[in-house]
Amino acid sequence: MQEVAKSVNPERDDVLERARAGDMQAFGALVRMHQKSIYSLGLRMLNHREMAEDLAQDVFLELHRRLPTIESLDHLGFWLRRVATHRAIDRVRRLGDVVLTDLDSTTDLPVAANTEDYLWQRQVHRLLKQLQPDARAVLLLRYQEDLDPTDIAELLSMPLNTVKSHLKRSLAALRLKIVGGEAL
Amino acid sequence: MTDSLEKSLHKTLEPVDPGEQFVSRVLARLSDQPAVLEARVPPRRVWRWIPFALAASLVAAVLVRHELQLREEVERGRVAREQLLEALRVTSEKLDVAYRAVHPARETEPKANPDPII
Repeated sequence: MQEVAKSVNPERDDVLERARAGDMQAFGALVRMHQKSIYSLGLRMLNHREMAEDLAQDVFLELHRRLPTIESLDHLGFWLRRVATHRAIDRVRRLGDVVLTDLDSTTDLPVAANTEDYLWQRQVHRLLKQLQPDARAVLLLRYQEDLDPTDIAELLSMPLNTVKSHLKRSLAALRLKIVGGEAL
Repeated sequence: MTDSLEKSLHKTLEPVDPGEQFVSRVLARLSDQPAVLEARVPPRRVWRWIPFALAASLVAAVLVRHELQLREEVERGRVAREQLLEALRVTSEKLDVAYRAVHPARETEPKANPDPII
C-alpha cells in the first residue's frame, strides 16, 4: 500500500531529501505528516496538553538534528514514534501522574458524537491513566497508531510476549469495566 | 466482543491534531536553535581539550622543576668550588706564614756558625 502511495506521489519521496538539504518548507511538511500522531502519543501518555505539545516539539527538534541518519519515510515514522514514546514513558516515570491534569478537562480530545460515546471515551481514558507507562504505550501504539505487536516490540525494545501480555491484560481490564458497569 | 472492543478502541484513540500553528511553533523554535547550539558547542570543545591541557601542564611542571633542580645543583657546585678555592687560599697563606716562620731560622743558622773548622 505504501509502495503504491510512494509511486504515485514522487513529491512525497522528495520531501525527506529536501529536508535533509536544509529546505525548511520540506521539514515543515514532514512535521505536518506526523504531528497528529506524535502529539497524541504525548497527550495520552502524559494527560497534559502543554507537556504533550512540549514533548512533540522536542521530538521534532531532535528529528531536525538527526535528519542525516533517517533513511526513508518509513524509518522516519518508526523513529518519531520510538523517540516520542520513550520520552513520554521517561516523563511519566519522572513526574508521575499525580502532578498531571486530567485529560478529561482538556479541550483537545475529539468531541464524542453522543452520550454513549462520551462515556466510553471516559472509560478508556481512565483505564489509560491506571496503566503502567509501558502498558499504556503498548495500548496506544496498538490502537492509536495501529501497529502490529511485532512492530511495537521492536519500537519499545520489548519482548513480543510482554507486548502481547500487556495488550491482553489491558483489554481484559477494559472488558471488566464494561461488564461490571463501573461507575463513570 | 474482542473485535468490537478493539474497533471501539481504534475509534476512541484517533490521533488528535495539535492545531494549525503547531508547525510554525516548531519552526520558530528551530530558528532559535542555532544560537543555542553555537553557545553549547564551545564548552564541549573546551571539555575535550581539558585532559590534554592538564597533561601538558603536568609535563611542563615536571620539566620546570627539573630545570630548577639542575640550576640549584650548579649553583651549589659553584659555591662549593668557591669555598674550596677559598680554603686552599687560606691554607696556602697559613703554610706561607709557617714557612716564613721556619725559613728565617734556617737562614740565620749558617750565619751564626760560619765555618768552625777554619
